[in-house]
Amino acid sequence: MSPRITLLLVAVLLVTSVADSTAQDFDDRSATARVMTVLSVTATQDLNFGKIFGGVPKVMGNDDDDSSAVFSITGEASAGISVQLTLPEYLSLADGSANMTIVFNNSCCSIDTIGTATPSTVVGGFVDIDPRTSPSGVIVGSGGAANLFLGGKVLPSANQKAGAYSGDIVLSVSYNGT
Amino acid sequence: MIRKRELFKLTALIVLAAVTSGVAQTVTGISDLEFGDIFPGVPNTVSKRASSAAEFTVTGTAGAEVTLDFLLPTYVYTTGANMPVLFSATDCAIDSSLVPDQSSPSADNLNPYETITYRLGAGGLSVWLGGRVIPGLVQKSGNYTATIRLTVTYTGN
Amino acid sequence: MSRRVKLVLMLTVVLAVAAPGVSAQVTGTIQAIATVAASLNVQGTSSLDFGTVVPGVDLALATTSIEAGEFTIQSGPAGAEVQFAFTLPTELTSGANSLAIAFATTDAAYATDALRTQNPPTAVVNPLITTTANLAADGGMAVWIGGEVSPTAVQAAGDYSGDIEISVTLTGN
Repeated sequence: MSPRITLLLVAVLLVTSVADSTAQDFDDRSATARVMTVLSVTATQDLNFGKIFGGVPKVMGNDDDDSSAVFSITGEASAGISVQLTLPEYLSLADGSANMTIVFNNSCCSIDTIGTATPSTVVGGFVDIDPRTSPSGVIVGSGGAANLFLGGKVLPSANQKAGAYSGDIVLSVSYNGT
Repeated sequence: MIRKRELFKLTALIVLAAVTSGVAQTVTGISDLEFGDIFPGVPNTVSKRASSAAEFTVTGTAGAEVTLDFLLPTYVYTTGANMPVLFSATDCAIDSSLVPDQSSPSADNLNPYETITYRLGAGGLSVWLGGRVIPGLVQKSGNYTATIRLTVTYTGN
Repeated sequence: MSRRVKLVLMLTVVLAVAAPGVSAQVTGTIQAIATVAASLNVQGTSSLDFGTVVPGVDLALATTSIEAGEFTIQSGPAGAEVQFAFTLPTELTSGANSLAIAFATTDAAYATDALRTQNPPTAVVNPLITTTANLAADGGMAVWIGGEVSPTAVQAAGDYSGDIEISVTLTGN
């Protein structure tokens, strides 16, 4: 083999070698997310009007520790939430044979955004608000809890059929991203 | 002898050219795909335009054609739990400008699940990736993470 | 703007769209409950009976008299508060003739003891105004009413009568 041929082969091998060593590269990054505390609602206490009499309306305030409705909310501390109550128009006997009107006025709801209050001690958050509208600015308390208290009024007719009446009150809560 | 010296010069030139055309392309992950704080039950999307989108830069020979292949996660993970992470067919964007512009990339709405072929610009490439996480209603709280890999290969074209 | 602030703003926009999704909500249900008590049963159980009166001679009957008018309340809620009031006549009639009748401020009484003792009653009250009282533990009460008729010297003979009504209302207390 002549010297000329030998040198050319060396050159070709070098080119090939360099190209292979740089053909591919990769790098990694991460997808990251921090999931906040699960939101929960617990029905803690029914709205209990107790015994009522035909033709005699009865009001239950939102500040009665024994009888006001109490919903307990837990979630991410200080996170904004949306609350929406679905309120009944009537209470009914279990067999559906009679209804009794229930009404809610514009001040029969309170929301404790501190998370430690009872119906009679709520001071922080939203006091005596309208349960038929969704207030803005509601947050889970710094301790990760909030409470909603609700009162109402039943209007039995003069000849209201005797018996135990009931109706569902539903609280829906969701994070609003604030 | 004169003839031999000329041959040596020629060989040297060829080797030099080969090294130049094979300037190693590099992929560097610049930023993570950050979904931030997620509320259980509330899906969250990060746009490829967002500052929280994943960003990679590719350097190499300007004008060289490369293929880009993502290895994408199906879930992000934390201890004892996972959460679906999704990528749409338009979640990737590339800009080969010398001054990359994320808000108006030269190639937009690319499918990160498919091989993407593109030519390096003067400044290489900037690659952005968005995505979406789907937390469950009772998704366990915690910090979730998963790896996104971008592999760049010269096509030789 | 810090990175964290940017993230928060972005989440706000996204969630405004995502929030309506049912998966984002949690709910709790409580019940509003109330028990309606049985209705009151009120009956007139004995008339206020003056018997035979003599023209020109007034005749009064006390609540403790066996001839006093009596109402019986039953089937109310134990111990519930009620209000009762009378609608009282000013005269009794017999055809076209009338006989004056009047009621004094002590002409009513009620009893809520177990035996509904008329004398002495639980309380003497004014029949001209509304009275508030509590039913007995068995949900009942007896109410008596007296009165005074004043026949004139030339009062026409005859059987005179008039209605006495009592209205009883549960107060809810």
